[in-house]
Amino acid sequence: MLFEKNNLLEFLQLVDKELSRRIKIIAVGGTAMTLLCLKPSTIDIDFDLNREDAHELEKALLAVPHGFRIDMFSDGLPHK
Amino acid sequence: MGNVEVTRMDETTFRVLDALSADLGSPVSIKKLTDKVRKLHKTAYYKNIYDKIQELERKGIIKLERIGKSSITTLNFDNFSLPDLLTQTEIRKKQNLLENRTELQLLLLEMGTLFKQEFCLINSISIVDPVRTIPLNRAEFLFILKEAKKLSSKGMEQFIRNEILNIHLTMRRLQKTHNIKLDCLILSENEFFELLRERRYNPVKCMLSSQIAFFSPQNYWTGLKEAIIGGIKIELAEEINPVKISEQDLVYNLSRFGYKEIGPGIKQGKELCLECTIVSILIRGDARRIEAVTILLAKNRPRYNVLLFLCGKYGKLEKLLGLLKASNRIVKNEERENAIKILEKLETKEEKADEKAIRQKMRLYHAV
Repeated sequence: MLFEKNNLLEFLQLVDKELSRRIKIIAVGGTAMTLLCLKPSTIDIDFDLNREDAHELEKALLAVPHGFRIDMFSDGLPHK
Repeated sequence: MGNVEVTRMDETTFRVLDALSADLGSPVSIKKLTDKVRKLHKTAYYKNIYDKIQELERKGIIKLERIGKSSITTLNFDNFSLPDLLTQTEIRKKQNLLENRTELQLLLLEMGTLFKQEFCLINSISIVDPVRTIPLNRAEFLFILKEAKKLSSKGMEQFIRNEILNIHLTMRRLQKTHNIKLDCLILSENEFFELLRERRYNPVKCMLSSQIAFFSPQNYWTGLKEAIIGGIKIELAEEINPVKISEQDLVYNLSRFGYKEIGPGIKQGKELCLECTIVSILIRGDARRIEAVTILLAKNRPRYNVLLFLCGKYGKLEKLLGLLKASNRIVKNEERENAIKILEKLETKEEKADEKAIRQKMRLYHAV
């Protein structure tokens, strides 16, 4: 399934409710282009964020069962 | 033309039956029913609902009881045509859902074809809460299997196990094809009613209010009708996210299932099913508690279908497989072996568990 901008935003809103603090995530590649309306949809979700924020995001994602393929990068490397 | 008169259910009847069928087991006043219709369908007018309720009562489709100043409504399952009307409601709900959702249309169509052709034990299939789950690129399904009469025979047991395994494999194949996560809960009719009847919280209790039976809806409602007439009392519940179960509730339920910890005092909390308790532990990831899962498995009789469903939904199948394999090496169990077989056939990667520590802990809690 391809994810459009509104799918991504709805998903991020749900995850946002589960965060215990503010975090900064940077959309990368197709995700960024979809959010900027430069392409209609993306097949996976890529984020770049620092390690602490990546852990916080992981915790929040546990509370939102989903079927997205999410890749996280910290300091330019795949997270984990 | 013959004498057959085909009438399409009017919109208000559909909305009333939809709201009442989503709230089985709890009689509601007309005012509350109007609120429920508004919640489900955006608009609702008390007068329209009131008039429709009076009409449906005259036809014997719903029961109306006066309590004080309120009129309380319930579905009249003694009426022979109610399952037919509820079946029509399901079809309408499905049509509304599939409008403008081409990808879901393809998935349900394929499921309908495959499960009709290749399986003989499936009684009905429902998609659960699709409006919430589909935007998250996942879908939940409730499979209810026919109750086989000669369950005692070994051959029949094996046949049912194979059918369940094949449902899992088919759903996994569809998941790959349609690139959407599919979680399925497969229950026999008896297991389904047992879970509905249970006092403690379990995932089935929250499924009924948001399900759409898209495959054999008539079977679904006929089965429920028979169970309700037979005296089953249905208690529905709001969904509980295992991530959000409080420490107090978790400690309380752990002790109910035979695992008491030194330290935290036990206070009465919300009663949860064993499977929810286990998934909550796996999500938290506390190593000491994860070892406790094997004690819970040994001291109780988990419903592995429910456990597989919840672990799949919350992404904990790998961890579960490791624990099942470790505990099965310590104490063999046929049902557990079957769950392991399903997970292996689904190519689940095992997350190894510390067998030595588990064995010690199981001895300590007299679970070996």
